[in-house]
Amino acid sequence: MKDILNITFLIALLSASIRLSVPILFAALGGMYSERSGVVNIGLEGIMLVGAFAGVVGSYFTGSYWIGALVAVLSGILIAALFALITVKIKINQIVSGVAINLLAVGLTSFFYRALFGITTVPITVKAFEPVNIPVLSNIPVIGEIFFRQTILVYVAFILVPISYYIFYKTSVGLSIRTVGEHPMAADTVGIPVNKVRTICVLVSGALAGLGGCFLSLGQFNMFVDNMVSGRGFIAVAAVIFGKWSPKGVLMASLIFGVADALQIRIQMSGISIPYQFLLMFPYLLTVVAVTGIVGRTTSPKALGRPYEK
Amino acid sequence: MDKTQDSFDNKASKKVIDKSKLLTIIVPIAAVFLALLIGSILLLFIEVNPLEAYKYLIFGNFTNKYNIAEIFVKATPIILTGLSFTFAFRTGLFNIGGEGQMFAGAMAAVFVGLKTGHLNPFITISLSLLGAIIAGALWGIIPGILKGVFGSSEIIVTIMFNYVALYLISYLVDKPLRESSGFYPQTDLIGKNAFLPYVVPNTRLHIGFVIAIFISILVYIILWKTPFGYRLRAVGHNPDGAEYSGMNIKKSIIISLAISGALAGVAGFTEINGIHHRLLDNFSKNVGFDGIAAALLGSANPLGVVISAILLGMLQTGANSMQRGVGVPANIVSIIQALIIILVLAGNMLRPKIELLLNRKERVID
Repeated sequence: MKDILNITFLIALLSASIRLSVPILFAALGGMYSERSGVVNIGLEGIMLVGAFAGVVGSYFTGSYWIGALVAVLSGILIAALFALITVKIKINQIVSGVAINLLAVGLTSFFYRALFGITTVPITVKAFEPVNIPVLSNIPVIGEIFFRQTILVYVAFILVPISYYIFYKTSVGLSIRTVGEHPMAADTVGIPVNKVRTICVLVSGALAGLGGCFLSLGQFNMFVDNMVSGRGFIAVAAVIFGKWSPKGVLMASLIFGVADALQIRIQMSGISIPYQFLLMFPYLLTVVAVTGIVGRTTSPKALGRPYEK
Repeated sequence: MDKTQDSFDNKASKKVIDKSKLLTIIVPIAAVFLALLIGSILLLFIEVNPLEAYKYLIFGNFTNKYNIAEIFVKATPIILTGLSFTFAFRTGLFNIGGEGQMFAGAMAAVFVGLKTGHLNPFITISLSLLGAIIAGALWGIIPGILKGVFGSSEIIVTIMFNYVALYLISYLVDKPLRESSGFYPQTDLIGKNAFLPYVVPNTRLHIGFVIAIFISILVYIILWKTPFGYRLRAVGHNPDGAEYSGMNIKKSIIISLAISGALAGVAGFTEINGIHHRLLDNFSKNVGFDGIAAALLGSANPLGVVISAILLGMLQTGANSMQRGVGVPANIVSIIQALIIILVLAGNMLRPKIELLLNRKERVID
């Protein structure tokens, strides 16, 4: 009896871990593109927030969560375009720009939420993604339940990991991105358009972070709440560092945060007498430990954070 | 001949200096106007007459003494968190954790206020301030040590500490410090003697504003007029050079973030002892980030921070009267605020180009 309980507990925990790691995975993969090209994007937090909001708006007005996701991606790209404009073109400090983008995102989402839906006491709910059982695979005991009964966006997120790996290490595009991030001058000399590559990478990060935000609102909560991203974008930035700027590392880092989050929720539900606030702190403290623990072994892109001037 | 040449040169160089000084003032003003212009598009989107709305936003404040005082009430903690960001920024660090450090200061201030609120006002208020400074410094020194010793990104760590402080407050008001009636998740009122005295009668403007102004002068003196501040700035400006000339980088980082945290901690003190008189969930939310906004607007110097904080205070109180007057969600001000920052920063970056453009025009005219 106890064993069965433990197994079901474990399956539920791991399944939830996968789900909870997805928003961070999306944003962290995006952050990886941007950082590999030399642009630190702490605006991921704000872009996710915009994605979460845009997803709800799209789904609400069309009744289709697919269109919601599309709107989220496009809005993410739009905000990222502004970020790219001020960091890559105008060359404002990237951290400062990220902070400004985050403030803008908080304002935009909370304003438009009230403008579109009025001041509501109960958040409006929308049509959201439902779990899709993958034929055959979902019937495998344990593994099927953990991995193959998730929503489409979960599969998308995980497929993006090998795709990103392929792009970064097996294509000339990936080589260009890495060169731009490591040695922009050299890249420029061999004819790689440094600022264009950076802009595109930032836009990719916007699309992915938008999708990550949309997963929160359309894949987990079915609604939008002010500030609902609550630091996941920042955790994604940390996941990029912790994952050493590689797709595999980013995946591992995101999964660790997913497990941490799932664990803290399970412990809350299990009624163990730790105040829930301390459990809520756990993922954030873990992030601190993560960015502290890897020190000395990090190899950040050499031109990270520095605008390129010919 | 030489003399005329000289005077000509003088005139020319003076002209250039004047122009660049002028731009320092024009850029922020233009940014505010442009941001309001973009904001008016949003207002049209929700079918509100922008002129009507802005009338409330800008003049809604000046209807009576109480409302005018509210501007400075709002500005007080923003000045302090703005100075906090400024101090770290000037020493080459990004402290995005002003919010959390303010919360830490508030926790200490409330604790002291609850325990010593019956003592002589001067003693209990001083103790509260001291407690807030220590707690804020502690919340800043931890990221400082992690950065200095282990090299962890102070940006990430300070941000994470915001959330930790937020949940810590939520815990304190939920369990150990919950009010005696146990009804709301908030603490009891601190002792009457720990309330900050008001400086203008019949308003909420308390002495915290004066303290904030005093501290901004202090920050200016420390950073720009003492060898200690010079060293900290040198490390920020050129870490390698500073290390080469024998300065201790690690120590400097730790001290900077501790002071930066302490400054934000004082904001917690002024908010608790001056306004709320108790600790509650979600109090003074976003003040830490408003401080960053004020610092960026004020080009990270104390005078600029004070002016920008008052501007932000004006916008925020005005936004409330706009919400009451024409039903525009007050959040529009966050958008305008963010736009102002982006435009000011962009304006400053593009300044050499603008100056070049102006000079070129002049040459044509000449």
